[in-house]
Amino acid sequence: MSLLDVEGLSVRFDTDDGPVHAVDQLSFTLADGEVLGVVGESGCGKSVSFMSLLRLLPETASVSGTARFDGIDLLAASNARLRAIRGRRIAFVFQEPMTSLNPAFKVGNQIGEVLRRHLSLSRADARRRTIELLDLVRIPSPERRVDEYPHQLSGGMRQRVMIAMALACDPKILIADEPTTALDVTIQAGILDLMRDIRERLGTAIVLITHNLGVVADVADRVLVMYAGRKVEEAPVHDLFARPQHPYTVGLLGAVPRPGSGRLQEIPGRVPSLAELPKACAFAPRCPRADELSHSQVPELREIEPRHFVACFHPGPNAEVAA
Amino acid sequence: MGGFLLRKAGAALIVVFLSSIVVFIGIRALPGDPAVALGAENRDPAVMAAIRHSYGLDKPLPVQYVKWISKALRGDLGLDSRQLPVGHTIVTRLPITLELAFLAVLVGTSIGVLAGVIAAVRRGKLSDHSATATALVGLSVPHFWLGLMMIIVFAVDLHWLPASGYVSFRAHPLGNLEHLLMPALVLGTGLSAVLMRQTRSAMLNSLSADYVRTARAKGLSERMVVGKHALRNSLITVTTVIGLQLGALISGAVITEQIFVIPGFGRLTLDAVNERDYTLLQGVVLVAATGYVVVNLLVDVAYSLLNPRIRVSGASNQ
Repeated sequence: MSLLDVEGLSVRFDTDDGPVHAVDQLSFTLADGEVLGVVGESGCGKSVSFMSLLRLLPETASVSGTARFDGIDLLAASNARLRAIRGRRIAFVFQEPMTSLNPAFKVGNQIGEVLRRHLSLSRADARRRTIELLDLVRIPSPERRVDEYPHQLSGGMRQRVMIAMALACDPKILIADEPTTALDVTIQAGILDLMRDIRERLGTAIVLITHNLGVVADVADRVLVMYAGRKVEEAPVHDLFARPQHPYTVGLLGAVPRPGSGRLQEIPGRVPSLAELPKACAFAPRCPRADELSHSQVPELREIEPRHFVACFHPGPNAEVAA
Repeated sequence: MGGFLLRKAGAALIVVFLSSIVVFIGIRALPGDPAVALGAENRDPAVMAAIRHSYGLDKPLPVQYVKWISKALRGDLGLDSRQLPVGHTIVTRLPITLELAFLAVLVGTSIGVLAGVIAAVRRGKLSDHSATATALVGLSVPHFWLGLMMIIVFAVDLHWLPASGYVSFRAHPLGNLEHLLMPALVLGTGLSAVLMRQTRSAMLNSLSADYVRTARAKGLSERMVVGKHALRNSLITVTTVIGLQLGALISGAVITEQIFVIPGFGRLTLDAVNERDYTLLQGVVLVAATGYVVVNLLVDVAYSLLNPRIRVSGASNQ
């Protein structure tokens, strides 16, 4: 049985300009100790989907569907129940380490309060454990760093603090939302290395949300590709890179820089606005394979080979997308 | 931190020095002549000259200033027109106003911050709208009107509180609070209204900040999220506003003390102006200016305690 089982997740934001359908009927599972990569352009609903699971979205969001975790439906759980899960069983690492830490409190205090809240540790024990955690995420001289404020740390260090905070209670699932996007390339590698290490040593299941396929290829076991609020392809990482099926995935792979491959290929057109759910394939306006069918019906998700799903009427690994 | 404080204190000293010059010149630029006030009905030029001479008013301004400031530095603010030591008069009157101001800030801050936090958390709901509307009323109502209304209701009609006057805390603690309750409310109303609005907008800002989302994602209770993570960052704004409102508080105290007949610093100031009592007025305004600078220094210190990033700019940090 899977650790997390999400079915029919939809998220709608009610804005002044009418509703925005950020996520439409998203279903997926996450196994114990698995690393799931979630890929898509900005605004495709990847962050929103996972924040909605822990009800971290603003009040303008309405969420429907089910999300089974450990016998309960996260989306229907009471606030108190959810608070006991947040930070304890499911933890988040956010994209912006600069703004995601509170500038007014020492990092030791911010990590320690998770331990005190969920594990009821004393102040002294929480401090001891915090120093261990800082050491675990490879922050040098943690005894000193524990008493520093976020602004005294570099971006990479702050992200390590965020990770230490997320790992504090040894969660079953770690959701990392673009954990490396705001960081320098050299520091990115260190953070990804740390993620791999965490999975191996602690057995934590990780959801890695990113727009960077290189990051996914490095760390993930399975990949979920999202476009305009819908899942368009899902496959084990090697299958996806070897035989991408959806023209959007093919396009994304063409846009990854590789030495000696010449000019990068781009996907023509723009991500559609999500004000209205199209009664068609959302990618059709940008797709060279699109025909009348693509423009008039929403493609169903099909299992094209074992564990490889794609939502496209004309799947195939050929690269004519960028023509 | 030490360096930061030293720089702030140095700047404060310069401000006090400059304000002493402004005070001195400003008062002499006022229309009216103390000799006329002192001589009463007697307008004989010889008497006038004698009075001016005895107060040193016939000397050039710079000489007068140096004489005054050098004595003031030693704690001697001179004698007023009744031949009483100005320093002593101020020392007896100032604590009354300090107590009033302290109570007003206490009342204003507790009401203003609490209402601001509630309004922000319950944004768009009835409690938000009513708090915002009440604050607008509180801002618009003049001190004297509010004071008079309170006297009519609570003193004249209900007989709950004394209408005016003052007893010292040492002589009669409860009576002291009874006498100061209405004045403190009147003086604190404007502050609480300003604070409510500023706290509300600061809280709305921090409640939508990423670190508040982080706090929620950690599973903290809503009380911790609001009361610790969001409020701590909003208090920076609150402290600044209290510092900025200090001028309004001083002038408000003058009016409030007048209405409630409290023999405080505000009344002393008004009396000194009315009587053209140069030495008294100089002493009073110098003390007020110094007090203003000192409180602003305290606000800076509080600010740096609340916002660790400010401390670092003063300290040597890698």
